Amino acid sequence: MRNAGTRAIRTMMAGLVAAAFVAVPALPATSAAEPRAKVSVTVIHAKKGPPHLHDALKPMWDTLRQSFGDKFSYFEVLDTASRQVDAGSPVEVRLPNGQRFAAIYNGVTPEKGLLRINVEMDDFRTKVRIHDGGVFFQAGRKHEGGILVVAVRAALLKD
Amino acid sequence: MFGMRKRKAMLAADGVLPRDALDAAGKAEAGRFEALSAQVREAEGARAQAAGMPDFDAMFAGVEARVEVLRREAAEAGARGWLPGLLGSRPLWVLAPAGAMVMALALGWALLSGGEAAPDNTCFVDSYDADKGTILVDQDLDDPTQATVIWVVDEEEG
Repeated sequence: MRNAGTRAIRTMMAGLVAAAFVAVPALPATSAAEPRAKVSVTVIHAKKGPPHLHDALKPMWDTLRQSFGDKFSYFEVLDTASRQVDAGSPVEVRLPNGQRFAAIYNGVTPEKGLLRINVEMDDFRTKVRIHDGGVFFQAGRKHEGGILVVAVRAALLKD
Repeated sequence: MFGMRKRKAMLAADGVLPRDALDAAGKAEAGRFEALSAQVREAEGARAQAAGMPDFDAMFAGVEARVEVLRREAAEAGARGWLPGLLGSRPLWVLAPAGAMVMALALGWALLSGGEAAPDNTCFVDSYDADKGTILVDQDLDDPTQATVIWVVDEEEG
């Protein structure tokens, strides 16, 4: 009688362990597993002409100057969007030509913790990985005697 | 530039060379330099006073005195040998805490400045695609401060 009870308990325990092994990998990869991030998109009108730098661009002037300082001297902010997002969520702006520009945060890489960012603009698509707090630019669309420069910055949220 | 007689006259006017070392012409020239020097000092002093500038003569006298003290200390240190000269009269137990403080300051600076370091803008472009236009990736992976620019250039019209 006692042996039968012990056997039943063992069988039940084994079943639970097996169920756990099967169930855990089957759970969907929720966004909660990925850290949240703050993604900022800034639409800049860059052109030649009298030197001008919008106040909001002063913190990124060194980076802007390195990339565009030899081509343009006038930098004005046309639109900006900044949101704290979960993995898979886009941060969008509308460009002056009516096109939608979206930067989609897609979580971090397991090895180096780089942030995966997808960019969508009209028929253009790109996938990049950047460091925490890093910035990159998409540029080239013509606009009012200059071009549109879109700065995308992403940083992990520290809890 | 200047002849030897003029140079001697200038030195005599400044009191560096005894007036007796000059001949009559030299003494006369030294007198002229003295008068010129006095006029310049007088004019400069009035200008400096009007502008509220510090007394240059007093400042320079202080510098000369300090240079003389340093020269004397260096000579004394050289006479004592290189290690005592380096340490001066300060014993090691005084220097050790000072050294520890310098190390602590250096460490603190390194830690604090590390927190304010510029972000790493290195960007790895895994893929890109567009139906029209030209795509160009402008980046320098050796310079993490430089941001990558993904150019999407419209095709020329017409």
